[in-house]
Amino acid sequence: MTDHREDRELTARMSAGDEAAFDAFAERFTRPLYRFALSRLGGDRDLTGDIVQTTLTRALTRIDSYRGEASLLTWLTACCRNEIRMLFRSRGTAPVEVELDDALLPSPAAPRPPDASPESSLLSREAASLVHAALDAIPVHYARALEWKYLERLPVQAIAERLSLHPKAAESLLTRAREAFRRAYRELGGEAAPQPGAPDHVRARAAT
Amino acid sequence: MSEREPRPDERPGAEDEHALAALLERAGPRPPLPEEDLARIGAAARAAWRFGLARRRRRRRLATVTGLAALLALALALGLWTSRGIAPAAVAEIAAFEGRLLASTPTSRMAPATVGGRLLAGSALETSGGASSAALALGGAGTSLRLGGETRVRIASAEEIELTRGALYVDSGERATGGVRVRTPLGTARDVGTQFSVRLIENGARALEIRVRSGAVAVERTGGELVAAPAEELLIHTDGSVERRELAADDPAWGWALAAAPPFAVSGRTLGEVLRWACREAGWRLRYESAELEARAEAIRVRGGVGALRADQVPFAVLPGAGLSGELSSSELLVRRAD
Repeated sequence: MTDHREDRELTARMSAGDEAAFDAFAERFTRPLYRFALSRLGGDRDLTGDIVQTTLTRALTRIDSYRGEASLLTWLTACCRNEIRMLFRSRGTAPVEVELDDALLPSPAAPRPPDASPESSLLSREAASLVHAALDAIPVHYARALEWKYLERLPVQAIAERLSLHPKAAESLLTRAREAFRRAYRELGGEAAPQPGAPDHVRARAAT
Repeated sequence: MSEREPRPDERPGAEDEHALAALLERAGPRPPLPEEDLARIGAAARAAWRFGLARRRRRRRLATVTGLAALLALALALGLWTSRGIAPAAVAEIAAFEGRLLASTPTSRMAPATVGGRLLAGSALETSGGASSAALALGGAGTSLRLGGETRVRIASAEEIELTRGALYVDSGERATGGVRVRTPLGTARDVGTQFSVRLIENGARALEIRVRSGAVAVERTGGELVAAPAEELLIHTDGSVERRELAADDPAWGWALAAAPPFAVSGRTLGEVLRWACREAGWRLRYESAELEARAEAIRVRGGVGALRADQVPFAVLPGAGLSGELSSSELLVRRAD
């Protein structure tokens, strides 16, 4: 079990008034939180802006209370879920809950037909937003390296050239990037972060 | 979930990587986020954080000193909450560049820039060398900004750029409503949802060149406002005289902006999306042989990358795989069934 030492150090520096620490905090968490909320609020930018702003301002006014029991991303995501829940409660409506239907996804027991591309079973918007938010939550060069490798299908050699690295160093960076992605995805509530032996599909957990 | 024995020829973690690759592929590319919303949230969050700091200090200090600090922090917070754009905030991101690109923030000196670098309001950028170029994502409305060689700009805000040297290309996107202003010493160009370039010419006599590819541009200058129409070039001299000439949307003069275009991840997008992007970048109209073909293009998903191909090369690389062909004539790409 991790003690989230880096997150505790970051909040300690923020509590001490360190502007650079606040910059790092805003850089790391604003985008993933925004994307997380946007998909759960039906793409409503105004509402998303209000919810994320409220989440961050409330969290920042009690940043001293963060003890590192969970990662900062998990903590903030929970705060954001809570804000969304309160919003819908105050309006007397329920949020749209999203869960991919297993029946619509390829069964792990039934291999994908050879002519079907992965794109033929694109994730729902909400499920995809978790993946995108996890990419937003990791260092920019990690996210870019993963996108180059798995979306643009660039070979490691080409990624190494883009990053001005030796191919071995690029391999190592990709390994760290995958680890960072899995961690962020889990922290955001991705139920089935891809792990060895995991089925080749993923379920998106209900938003709130 | 059942465990399985790894095959001897399978490297450790290969299955794990496969699952992650499949997840990323199915999610597709990240849609851009509205930068102006993020900047506003960031400014409000900073104000709240500072206010929180001040409040905590108040508890530790003498009431008179801390009371003043809290009032100042509150004033700052209120100011930031009610006035967008006062606090420095990231308003642009470096999407790609060729050659040498230097960047500075309001508090730092010029230094080599990196792809993915986010620029605060007030940042300056400079391409060094005639063959250099750079592409930025400006604000959150999908505006693409490109710098030509030997160009210097200051990003005043997500809506305002100051051009002090060289050439700048602005594409405010298909859905954008415009609003980007390019200030120069010879006038200000304001777009109304368009693709255009602004260049300061300084070979002896100074002049301002405005080229409009699509949409329209209003030019504010001493002596009144001018409007530049699509496929038109204006050359505005310091003595106030103006020359106009036609310039087709796919004229080779736009080549530098095409070459400076940021990477476009095609994997996961529909063929129709890819073709629309390519045609916009190349300055072509897109036409399908039939409505059925157009519908088919929206149902076909593109898989894989296009590497270093330019936008004007991409249609001819992706169409054959879909059993289609492209025919280019008079600035129009006609998509038809392959023979």
